[in-house]
Amino acid sequence: MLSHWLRMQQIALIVLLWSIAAAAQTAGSTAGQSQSQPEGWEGGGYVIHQSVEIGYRVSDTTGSEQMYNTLVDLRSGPRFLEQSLSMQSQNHDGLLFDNLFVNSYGWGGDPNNGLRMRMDKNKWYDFRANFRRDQQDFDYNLLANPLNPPTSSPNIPVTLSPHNFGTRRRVSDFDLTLLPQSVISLRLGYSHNNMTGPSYSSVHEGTDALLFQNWNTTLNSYRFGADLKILPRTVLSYDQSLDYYKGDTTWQLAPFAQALLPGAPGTVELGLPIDTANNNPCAIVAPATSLVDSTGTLTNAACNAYFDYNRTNRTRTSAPTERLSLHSSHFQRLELTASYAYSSADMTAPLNELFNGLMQRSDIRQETVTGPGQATRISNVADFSATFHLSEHFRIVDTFRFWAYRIPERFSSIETDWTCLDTATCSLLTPISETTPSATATSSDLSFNQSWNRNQIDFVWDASKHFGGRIGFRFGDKVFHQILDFSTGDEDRVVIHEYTPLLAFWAKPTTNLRFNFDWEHTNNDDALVRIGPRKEDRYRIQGNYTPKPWAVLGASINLWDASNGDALTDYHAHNRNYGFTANLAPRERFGFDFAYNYNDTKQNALICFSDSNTSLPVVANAGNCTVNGYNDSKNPLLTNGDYTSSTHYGMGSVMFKPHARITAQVGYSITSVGGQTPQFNALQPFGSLQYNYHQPLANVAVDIGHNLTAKAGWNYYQYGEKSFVGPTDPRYFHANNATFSLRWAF
Amino acid sequence: MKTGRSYLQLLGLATIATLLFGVFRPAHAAPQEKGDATSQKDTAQYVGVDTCKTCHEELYKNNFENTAHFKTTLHDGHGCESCHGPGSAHVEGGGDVTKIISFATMSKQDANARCLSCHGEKHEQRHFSGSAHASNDVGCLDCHSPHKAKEPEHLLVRAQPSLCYGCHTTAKADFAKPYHHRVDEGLIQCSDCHNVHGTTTLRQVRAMPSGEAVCVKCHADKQGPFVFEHVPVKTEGCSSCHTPHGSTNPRYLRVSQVNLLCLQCHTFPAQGPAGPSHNQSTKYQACTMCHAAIHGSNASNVFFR
Repeated sequence: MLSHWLRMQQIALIVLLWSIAAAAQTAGSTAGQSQSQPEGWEGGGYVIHQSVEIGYRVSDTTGSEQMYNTLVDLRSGPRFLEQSLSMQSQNHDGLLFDNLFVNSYGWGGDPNNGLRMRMDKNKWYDFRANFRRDQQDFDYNLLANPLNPPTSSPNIPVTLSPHNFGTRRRVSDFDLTLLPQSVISLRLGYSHNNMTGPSYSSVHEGTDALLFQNWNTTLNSYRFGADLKILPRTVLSYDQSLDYYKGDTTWQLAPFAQALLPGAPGTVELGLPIDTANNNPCAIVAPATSLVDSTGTLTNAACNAYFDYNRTNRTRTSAPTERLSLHSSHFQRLELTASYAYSSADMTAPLNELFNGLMQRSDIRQETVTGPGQATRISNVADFSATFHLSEHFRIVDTFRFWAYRIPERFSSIETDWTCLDTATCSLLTPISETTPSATATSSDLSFNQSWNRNQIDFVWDASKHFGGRIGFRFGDKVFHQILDFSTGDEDRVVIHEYTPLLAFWAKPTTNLRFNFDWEHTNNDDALVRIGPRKEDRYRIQGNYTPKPWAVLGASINLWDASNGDALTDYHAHNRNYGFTANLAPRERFGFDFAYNYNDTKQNALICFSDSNTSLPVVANAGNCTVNGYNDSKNPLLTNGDYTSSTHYGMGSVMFKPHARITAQVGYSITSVGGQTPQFNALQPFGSLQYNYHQPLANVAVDIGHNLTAKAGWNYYQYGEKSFVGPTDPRYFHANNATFSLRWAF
Repeated sequence: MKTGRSYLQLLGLATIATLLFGVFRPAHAAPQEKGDATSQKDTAQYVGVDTCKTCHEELYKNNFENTAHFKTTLHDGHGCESCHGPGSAHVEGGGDVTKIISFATMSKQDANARCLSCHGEKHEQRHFSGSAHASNDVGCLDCHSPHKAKEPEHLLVRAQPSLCYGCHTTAKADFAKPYHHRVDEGLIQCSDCHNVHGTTTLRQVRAMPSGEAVCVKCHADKQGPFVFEHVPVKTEGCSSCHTPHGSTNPRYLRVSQVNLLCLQCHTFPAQGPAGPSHNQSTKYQACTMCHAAIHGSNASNVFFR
C-alpha cells in the first residue's frame, strides 16, 4: 500500500511538471488571454457545450477503516468525475426541445453521485429529472454496543457496531409540465426511492443476538396535477398523488459468539452481550471457569442462546392524496393562497418470526409469532396565507396551517411457545419433542391522533430602502390523543396552546452593509414529552458587509434556548452559535477564504436511572428517585442528565495563480469538539463527545490549452478522539486521498 | 381563554372580509405593470426587442437570449419590456435610465412584485410575499440575476449551497461537521428540504402532501403509519432527537450517548412513558440494541422489532 502510494506520488509529480511545462510553452502564444468558457460548437441547429472530467483517485488509510468509511468513504479507482452537456436551439424552435441541460458527477465508485437534467420546449413542455445515489457505509462501533467487559470469560469484544450498514439509496425524480404557459397546464411526476444493502441489527429473545438485516425498501410516488387560470392572476390547482411503499427487509441470525454444544453436534450462537460477571448470557457453572472452554464448547447448556432466528415483516403502504389549491393576486394589494389536502394511507405488515434456542427465564425452546399488523393514517391538511399590501411600505401577512390525522392501529398475533416439559432440566439440549406447545392470541387495538392548528399574523413595515421591521404573533393549538387500549379505555390526551410573539428588523445603512435581527419567544402551556419545551427563545443576528466588490464579510449569532420548568423535569437546552466568514479576492490571481464558527450546545433534564458501579461519580453523587414525587423504585438514582458540547470550526483557504494558466489552492479546516456528559458505564468512552477532525487540502489546476485542464488534488483526513478507546477497536484514522483528473470542455 | 380566542379569530376573519370586499378592488392592470413604480406607464409605448438590441446587443446575446427569459420575446411577448416596462420614453430620452424601470433603483418590494407578476402563480413561489425572506428584505434579486446568473438552472447569482451560506453562516458550519447531510458534496441542495420562497410551515421546511415533514421523502421507512408509534417522532418531529443539518454525533443525534437521550424522556414520574428497569453499568448502556425499531414498529409495543 505504501509503495503504491509513493509510486502514485511520483506519477502525479511527473504529470504536474509536464502540465506546467506544457502550459508555459503555450503561454507565449496565448499570453494575455484569460481562461474562459469555450465557444461551443454548432450542430443540428443547436449551440452545444460539453465538458467531461475523468480521473483516478488514490486513497490510503491508516487506522480505523470503519471510521474512514463512515466519515469519508472515498476509495481508490478510476472515476468519471463530472460531465455536463448543454444544447440550446439557435432559432429557439428545436424539433424535440429548445434547451437541454444534463449535468452529472461522481460515477465510478464515489459515495455520492447524481445526474440532473432539464429539457424544455417553449410553451409545450418543461421536463426535469434528477437521479441521486447515496452510498452509506456506517460503522461507528460504539453505537448499540453492549461494551463487553474484558474481565468476562470468554472475553469477546464487540469491535464493530451491531447496527452498522452498507446501504445504497437511489432516488429518482421526474417532473413534466405540459403547456406551462397556457390557461390549463398539466403536471405529471414520478419519484422512485429504493434503498438496499447489507446491514445489521439486533433482537432480544432471552439474550440479544446479532441479526443480518438485508435492507430493501422502495417508495414509488406518482403525481398528477392540473393548473387552471380561472381569472387574471388566479390559479386553481388540483393534485392527485399516490405513494406506494414496500418494505421487504428481512432479518436472520448472524454469527458473533458461537460455541459448540456439549455432548451434541452443532453450534449455538451466544449473542452479543458476553458479560459473565453479570450472567450475560448466563452464569458460569462451577467447576467451569469460562462459559466456553478451551475446545470452544459451551460449559452451561442451560444458557440463553440461539440456534436459529429469522423474521419477515413485509410492509405495504398505499397512500393516495388529493389536494385542491388556489392562488390569487387578482385583487389589487391582496394575495391569497389556500389549499386543502386529504390523504388516506393503508398499511399492512404481516409478521412471521421464528426463534429456536433457549429463553432461560421462561424455559422456552422455540417460539413463533405470526400475525397481521395494520394501520391507517387519515390526514387532513389545510393552509391559508394572505398578504395585504395596505400601502407601499406596510403590509399585513397572515398564515394559517391546520393538520390533523388519526391512525387507527391493530396488531393481532398468535405466539406459539414450545416450553420444556421438565423445567428443572430444560436446556439447549432439550429436543423439541420434549416440549409442549402453547398458543396465545393477542390483539392490540390502538389509535394515535393529533390535530394541530397554528396561525401567525405579521405586520411588516418597509420604512425605506434602508430599514424595516416586522412584529407578529403566532398562536396555535395541538391536541394529542392516544388510545392505548380500546377495551380498557387506557388513553392519553393532552392539549397544548402555543403563544409566540415575534419581532424582527433589518437595516441597510449603505448598499454594502446590512444587518438582520429576528426574535421569537414561544410559550406552551403544556408539553407532550419531557424534553418538549414549554418555553423557547430564538435570536438571530446577521450582518453582511461588502467594503469592496472583492471583499465579502459576514457574521452571525444564532441563539436558541428551550426549557420545561416542571419541578420533576427541569429540562433546559440551548444551542448558541457564533460565526464569522470572510471571502476576499482582491486580484484575479489571489483569493482568500476564511470562516470560524463556535457552537455551544446543552441539553439536560432530571433523570432517574439504575446503576451499580459506585466508582462512577454520577452514581456516587446521585440523589434519590424513590421520594419527593419521583417514586421510581426501579430507577432509584436521581441525577441531572446533562449533555454539554462545544464545537470550534475553523477553515481557511488561499487561492493563487502563480501563472496565468495555473490555479492553486491550499486550505485547512478543523472541527474540534469538547464536552461533558455523565458516564453511566465505566467502559463507555466519551467517543463523539471529544475529538478533533482535521482536513487540510491542496490542489492545482493547469490549463494546458485546447480547452484541457489537468488537475491534481490532495485531501487529508484525520479523526482522533480525546478519550480512551473502550472495549472495542480504536476509532482513530488518518487518510490521504489524491485525485488526478483531466477536464475537457468543448 | 378559548371563548376569547374564538372571538379574536372571528374578529380577524371579519376584518379580512371587510378589507376583501370593501377596500380591495380587482387589479385590472396588465401583469407586467403591477408594482410599476418608476415607468412612464401613462405615455410610454412598447418598442420591441430589436430596438433594445440596438444599444444592448451584447447584453441581449450573452445574458438574455440564452436564458429562460428569452421566452418573453415569443408569441406576442414584450421581451425586455416584460420586466423593464415600455421603452419608448427611454429611447426618446437617449437612454435616460429614469424613463424606464430599473431594478437597481427600485425598492425591494417593487422589484419582487415585478417578478411575482409572472412567477407568483407557480406553486414554489406562491408564499413568497409572506415569507421570512421577504419580511427580512431578502428579495428576488438577492439570489437571482436575470442577466448575470452564474448558475443557469434558476438564474442564481451563485450555486447552492454557497449562495445560502452567504447569509446562513451557521448552516455552513453545520454541514462541515463530520456527520452531515451531503449538501457540500452536491447530493442534496438546501432547496430540497426548504422552500426558500416560503411555506406555511416553520423554518420554511417543506412538507409532504399528507403533512409529514420532508424528511420522509428520502427516509421513507420512517414515515409509517406504524402499529406502534414512537410518540415524539410524530408529535415533536425528527429534530427532537436529530439535528438535520449536521452533528458532531453519529446518526446526527443531539447528544453523544444514546441512553442519555432516552432517559431524558423515559423517566418517571413527571409524564409517561415509564423509565427502564435496567442497570446502566451493564449491557443496557445501549438502549437501541434491544429497542431497535425505535422510529416505530408494526409488531412490538416496546420497539423490539
